[in-house]
Amino acid sequence: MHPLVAADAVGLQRLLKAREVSATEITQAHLDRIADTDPHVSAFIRTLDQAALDHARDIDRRLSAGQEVGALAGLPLALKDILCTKGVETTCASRVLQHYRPPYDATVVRKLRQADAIVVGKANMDEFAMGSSCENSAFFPTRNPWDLERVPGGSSGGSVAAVAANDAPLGIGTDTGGSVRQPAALCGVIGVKPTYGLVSRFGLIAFASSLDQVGPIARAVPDAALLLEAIAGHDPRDATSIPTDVPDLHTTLEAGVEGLRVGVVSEFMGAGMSDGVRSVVTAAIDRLGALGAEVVDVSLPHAGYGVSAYYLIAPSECSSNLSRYDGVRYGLRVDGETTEQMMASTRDAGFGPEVKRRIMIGTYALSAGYYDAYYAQAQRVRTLIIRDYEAAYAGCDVLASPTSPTTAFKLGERAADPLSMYLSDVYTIPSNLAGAPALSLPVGLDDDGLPVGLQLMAPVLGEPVLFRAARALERELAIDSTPRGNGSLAQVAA
Amino acid sequence: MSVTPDASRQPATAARDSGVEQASRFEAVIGLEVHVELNTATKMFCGCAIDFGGAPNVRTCPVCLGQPGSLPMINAKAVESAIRLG
Ligand SMILES: [Zn+2]
Repeated sequence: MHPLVAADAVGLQRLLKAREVSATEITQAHLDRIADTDPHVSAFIRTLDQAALDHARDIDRRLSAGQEVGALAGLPLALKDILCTKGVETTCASRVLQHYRPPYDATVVRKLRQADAIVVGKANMDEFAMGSSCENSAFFPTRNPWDLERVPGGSSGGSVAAVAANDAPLGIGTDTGGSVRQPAALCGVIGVKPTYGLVSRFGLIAFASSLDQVGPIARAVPDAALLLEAIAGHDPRDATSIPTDVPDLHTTLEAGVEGLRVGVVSEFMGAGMSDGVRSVVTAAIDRLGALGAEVVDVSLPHAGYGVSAYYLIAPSECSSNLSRYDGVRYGLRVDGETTEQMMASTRDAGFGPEVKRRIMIGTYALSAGYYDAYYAQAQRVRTLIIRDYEAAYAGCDVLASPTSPTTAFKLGERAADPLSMYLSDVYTIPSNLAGAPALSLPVGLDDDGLPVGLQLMAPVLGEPVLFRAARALERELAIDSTPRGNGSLAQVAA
Repeated sequence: MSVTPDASRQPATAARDSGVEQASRFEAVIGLEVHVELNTATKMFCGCAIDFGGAPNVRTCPVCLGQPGSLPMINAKAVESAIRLG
């Protein structure tokens, strides 16, 4: 593997600032890596080679002229194909948007460009971010670099697999119920779901508006912190954006966990978890204790209702958000004899089975006579879960649990059983319902040699302590994030 | 405007009712739906100008076209005016 693609973002930045390498060299090395790996991994719906190299040359020109460059200058980044890029196809991995070219950039995309990140490609995902395996992409599934017969998780499976495959040191995903953290766990990288409202949703194609949040993906905690600082901040174009300063993650990043109270969520350590996940996660939590954290048991009594509440709230919001895809203004149109027939045929051809399933569930839950029994009841459960977290944080700085109950599963293994797929997100969903930040950190391998993720959670706007705890454990464990072993990418693309 | 029969009155046979008696069996309930155009400078959910008479499709943006990913921002002046109107 080329040393430039093995390096983390902070290391690349150091080399670039010392003028030991150029942004063009960094970018070319990653484009070459994508050419080697993507025939096996299928992380990208499209790569943006020419635009990436043009941007890199511009950065090099400015560096030579002694001009300013952005905070992410020269760092390749995989962008989930759910964020609008002006003039560049943005598909949401759906037939209904297959040839859609947005007339504007998402706020996150604008900030990434201003920071001089190099967007190397638009990454694959489950259609409209609905799924936990990347198999719901209308185009093709993405594969896990640790075992190419297994899924990378989802829905941000493409961005995560790209970072795990060393196609880019940074990735951007979105997390509605675990869609950054669960694939990060399954691919052995770091994935963050920030506080709801910390990162703008303007230009993020909506799935469930009260839950969606953009989050960074990286192979090192300082890299993820760097990326979050670059994309966070108030946006007057998003009414749910928090009018707060960009969080300072770096000042306390290396402060360690001594004196922190870490609560282990009892409800997330019960049945349903694989033995391998349990032993690796338990060992990681013990290491936090050895580093000086005080580890205590806490309870989130209503968290067990999270999945049920989520699968009413998220489909309800999805059924409303996706009503705009009617074949009239943009995207796919299938002709019909009447306007109604055109719309029905367009939606029938444009949406895949999981998207249709959620539109049906959501439309039913919101219909007259059922609203109180389903949607309103789910919102009440959400309030109870928020109170559970408040009670837990009265005595803890951060909470810990597994990210996912299992390691990566085989392609096709859960595709026929939506419920087993939904349970992939049982530990991640409550953070979305509470609007609070959480991240997944790779903490070891199970007996099959597959990565296990530890989930750390913090109160709303508690990103500094979240990153601080993750960084302390990362330093202690010194995990090698390179995919290896039988069936891995290492065997086909060294 | 709607006119509803007064259920408290006894029904009478059509042959005995004069026009006046017939009318007295109904109670008039009149509501007014008033449309006003607020004097805001921009549209309700985006920053596009509301002026008339421009070229087609120039006072538009991703928000008022309902483009995927766009989000509405409610016009503060319109909310203030609506509150003043009661
Ligand atoms: Zn507009």
